[in-house]
Amino acid sequence: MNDRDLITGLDACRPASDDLRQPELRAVAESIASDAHVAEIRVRIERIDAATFRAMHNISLPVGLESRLIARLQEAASGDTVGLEATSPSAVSTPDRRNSSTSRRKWLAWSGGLATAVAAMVAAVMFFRPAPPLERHDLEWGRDWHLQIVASGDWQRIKPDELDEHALPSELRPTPQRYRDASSIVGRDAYAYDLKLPDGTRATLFVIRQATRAGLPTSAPPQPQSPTLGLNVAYWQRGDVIYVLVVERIEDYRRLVTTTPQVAA
Amino acid sequence: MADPALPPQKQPTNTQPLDIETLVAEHGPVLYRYAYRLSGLAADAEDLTQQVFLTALTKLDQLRDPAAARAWLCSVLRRTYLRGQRKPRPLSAANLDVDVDLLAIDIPEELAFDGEELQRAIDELPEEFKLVLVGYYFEDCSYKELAERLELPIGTVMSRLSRAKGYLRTQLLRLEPTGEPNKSPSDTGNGEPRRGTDRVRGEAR
Repeated sequence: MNDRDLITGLDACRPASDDLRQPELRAVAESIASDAHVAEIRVRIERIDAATFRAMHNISLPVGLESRLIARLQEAASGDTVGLEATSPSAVSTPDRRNSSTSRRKWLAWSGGLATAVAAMVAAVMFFRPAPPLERHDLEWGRDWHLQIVASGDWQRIKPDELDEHALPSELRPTPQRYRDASSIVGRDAYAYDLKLPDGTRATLFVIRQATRAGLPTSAPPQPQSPTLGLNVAYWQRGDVIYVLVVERIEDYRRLVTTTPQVAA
Repeated sequence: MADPALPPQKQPTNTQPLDIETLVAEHGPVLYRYAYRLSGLAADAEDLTQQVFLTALTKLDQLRDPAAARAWLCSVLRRTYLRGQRKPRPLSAANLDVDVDLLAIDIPEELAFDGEELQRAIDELPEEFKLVLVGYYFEDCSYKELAERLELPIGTVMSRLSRAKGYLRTQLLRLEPTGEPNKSPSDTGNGEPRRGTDRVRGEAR
């Protein structure tokens, strides 16, 4: 057995396990038993392994992780907006399909085709009908946009050299690291930016393109206009861009933006 | 929220019916840490963990064996993570040869690695190596079981695991002039971190 095969076998064994009894490791086990130097190498690998294991798991959990996870699961359960993931077949049972019949498949195919056709028609109508401009009361929905965005994730990283391409407000203190297309959630040409405070609290900035003036402040307001239901929504407009910032706490807002005396648009 | 048991050996068999809050409480921490080591970012790790539990929520009634919950959740985590990967491989697999010389040095019992350095080394691994390595330390199973879960041949898992572990060794084991590994590696004193196997070659017996 050469050194490489020996190390490969030793690396596969967990410390204090019976992995060495596996047939493919028989030669490794024999080498350990007959060669003190190999036994010594095994001890070294186990020590490195133990240190690696400790370092691997030595990660501080974000404050409030469990409560956030459960809160989002409860939202998802009540809203039924959960996307399905591929799952391991070994642990999860599959529905009994023995009673599936050809007629059921035909029905599914027919109804699927009909649904596709209806969806295409709706999409065509929506495409050709201009969306009404967003007003103040529409922006109160920022709270729900934020919850949907946080639950769905799917962020893309912002490359430093691409920052100029994003229409970020000058008032924003931190540089966002991630963004995603939020058009399907906002119903307009919109992007969402993930903002995270040092204590793990999340905030979302929505950047919405709209040529129409909505009578909003032209800079970040001194405080959010809509402090409701545990989330605070602030909005303002500069040029053809509306900014909607959703934060959990008022103090988060002050940490995220610099504010100036506002002027109505 | 309970922390995961440290020894990567046995998990108590749980035959109680599960609800999603119990799953979050029991497996949330280890899944978050697993996700963190795969993604390298706290925000991504939380999103990944969230996605895993959202999936679990929809499939919970189909979980036949509650004792398999951790393996199942880990599987969902891996798949979710892989689906979100768009980045090219950071390091060629050709650079991951097993370095036998590194194991010819004395390793103290109380060895400790820096978590950030560990993460940097993990981030440099190609995805297929990273998944095997991080899975080995988080999935609480043997290399054979890991091979089944990853749907890979046993030999492939052993080879990738050894090469990935070897790469970590080259990145994390730093030698003092006496030949002792530095327990808290930072730099060489001239501002340049010591990297690669040249740090230890010549110290081998």
